[in-house]
Amino acid sequence: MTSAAAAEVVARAGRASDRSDLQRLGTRFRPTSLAGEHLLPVTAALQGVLPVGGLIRGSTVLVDAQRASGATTLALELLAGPSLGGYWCALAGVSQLGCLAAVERGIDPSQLVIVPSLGAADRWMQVLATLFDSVDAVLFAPRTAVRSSDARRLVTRSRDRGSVLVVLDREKSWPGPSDLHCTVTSSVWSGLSRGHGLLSSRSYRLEVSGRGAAARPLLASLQLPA
Amino acid sequence: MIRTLVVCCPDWPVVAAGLADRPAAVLRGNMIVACSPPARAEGVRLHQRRREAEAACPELVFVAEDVGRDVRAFEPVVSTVAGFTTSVEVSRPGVCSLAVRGPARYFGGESSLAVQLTQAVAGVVSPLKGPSCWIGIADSPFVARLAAHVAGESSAGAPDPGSSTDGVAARVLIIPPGESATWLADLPVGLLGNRELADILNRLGIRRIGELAAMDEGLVGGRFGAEGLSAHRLARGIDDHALVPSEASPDLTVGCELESPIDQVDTVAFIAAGMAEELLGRLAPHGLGCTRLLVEAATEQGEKLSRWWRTDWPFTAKAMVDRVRWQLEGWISSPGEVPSAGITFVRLTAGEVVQHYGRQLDLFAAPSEASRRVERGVARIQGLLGHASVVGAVLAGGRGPLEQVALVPWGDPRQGGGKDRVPWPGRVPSPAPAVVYGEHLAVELISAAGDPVAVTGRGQVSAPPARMRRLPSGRFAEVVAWAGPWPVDERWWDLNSHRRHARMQLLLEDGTAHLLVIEGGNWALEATYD
Repeated sequence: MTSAAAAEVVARAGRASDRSDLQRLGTRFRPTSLAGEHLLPVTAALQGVLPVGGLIRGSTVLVDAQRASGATTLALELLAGPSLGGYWCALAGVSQLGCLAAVERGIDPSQLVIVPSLGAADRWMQVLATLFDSVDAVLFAPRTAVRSSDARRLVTRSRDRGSVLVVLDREKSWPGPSDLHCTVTSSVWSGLSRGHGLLSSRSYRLEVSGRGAAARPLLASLQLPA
Repeated sequence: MIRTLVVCCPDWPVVAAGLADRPAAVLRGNMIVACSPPARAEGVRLHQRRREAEAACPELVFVAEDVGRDVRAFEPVVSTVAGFTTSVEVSRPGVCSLAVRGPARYFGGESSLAVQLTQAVAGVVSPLKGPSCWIGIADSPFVARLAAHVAGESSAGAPDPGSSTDGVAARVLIIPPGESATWLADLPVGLLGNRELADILNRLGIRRIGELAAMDEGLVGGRFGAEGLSAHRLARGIDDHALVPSEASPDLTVGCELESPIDQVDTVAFIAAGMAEELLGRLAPHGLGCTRLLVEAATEQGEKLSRWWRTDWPFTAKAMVDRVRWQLEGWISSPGEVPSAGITFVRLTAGEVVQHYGRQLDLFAAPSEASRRVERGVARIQGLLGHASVVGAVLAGGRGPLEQVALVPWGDPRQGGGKDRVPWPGRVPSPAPAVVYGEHLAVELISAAGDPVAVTGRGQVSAPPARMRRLPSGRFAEVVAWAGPWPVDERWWDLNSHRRHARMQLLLEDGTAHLLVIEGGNWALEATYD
């Protein structure tokens, strides 16, 4: 009943006015319907966007973009919540990722494991599996196309270990299943003009779909950095 | 009691670095941990800070501490000493010991053995321009080590051992059997090797080892705990860590036959980590720790190298793995017999077990279950991909997005952190770009008139940028908005690392924002705000 009610509100979410409703609902339901240990916290900005107001342990979240930029920042924001909550995070296969941006988003560098390059084809599955055993949330950015059988094995492994897998898919290389699929449909920078100002903040429009509570796709907007 | 001979090569870290004949010092962080005789003559001392040492001796050469290098360089010395007896133990690079009874009989008495040893070691050390070794002989390894130390200290100014036997004799100190406690009594308590304890004892007015030995054992134990008791035993000339030249029982041995030969030290060390855990796991239920470890390795061709290693505190698994790594690295780089094939056999043997009372961990510093789980996982990945493959991030000072975060291999000390977050004028403003290109990607930036955009010496653009494209063959994209340039003139005091450049933020028509940098007239893409 709770998830149906949540889905009801989620379906209307995205507009800022409904976000407070959702948050209220979320705090009211969480202790009864969702055991705290099954849900990793997310930052305030994302609470209104994710169907259950958190990252479900063992789930896979796919982040990509459709003719828009900003997927990397969104993926880091997804990890920031667990890290702020004291959970360990890992960045895997992200040699070009700006670690300063990760820290600025709120990821605690003292509880962050970075594996910049995952090594040869026969090793990277093993490395990721080890990371699932060790940390609570893993950001994985595949550089080449992932075989769908490998993707399925990864998803199963992360579900077994109760670790959240966030896949940052810049090049459409993740074939497989995901529990939650966040697509950036547009992102608009503000603050910069011709010759003055600074890049300060970006407003996103997202499409969030997936399984379970997220089965009905929803459109959401969000401001990062908030 | 087993008569023990200790060979001590003074200033070994400096000798290993090949800097023994000039003013040089080895640094751990900011502290001097070893210095060469010329540096000491200028007033450089151990535990001094770098700046004080530089003030004492401006031409001082510094090298960072590297135990692996020290061990590799020490390997020829150990092989030489092993020519005299079969059971040589390495305490740490620069110090090794052997049971003296058998060899003394064979080489014509203790002093004769010491002289021959000194000359043999000098043959190895003198090409490295190292000073002559010191030798102490006593009833226990601890007293013998102290004797060697005292002999060395008092021999300053004695003639070179190469030219006369007097010089050799000056560097050898033999404590007759049964006289250890008497000899120790007059020495300062600081020589017991526990600086914190010595500090407290000094403040209590107990300055000589004899004064500590005269105290009641129970009272010392009650006041200073396990460390105090072990110091008290040493003060009475009783050494818990006697040389025991007996065969170890099979329970204390963990061996591993490798299916395929391994030619990488890292991989062997990874396997050894599991063996060390197993060995400690067998000892732990009995409340025992191991202070003497035999590491044996063999190659596919049947070459073997075994070495004894010793510590004052019981070995941890990591310390055991370090010994395996050092031994193999020393073997590979030794001038003599180098292994000609991959390693196929490794065995660890606990040669001496002691009651292990453990060390009380700090309540708040104790690692949590989660961080232990992470450490295990990281160790496994490092075993797969290599030590530097897993990194941690440390905030550092700097202006560019790459400089502000230092990536440190996991397990290495993390320096920097909070105190370096002081203002850096010219720092790239927040928010930081989420994608940073390791090597800059060349781009072309032109004005509306089609001329290349340049940055003047006063930090102004020659014309507003209008279009940008990736070189060599990108398509031009309109520049919608831009800011900058922010000129940076870094390290102008150093000709080699001087760098002058300017950065700009650009927003393109497709909504992507980028950080550009111009250096030497060429624009490059440094990062993208993805």
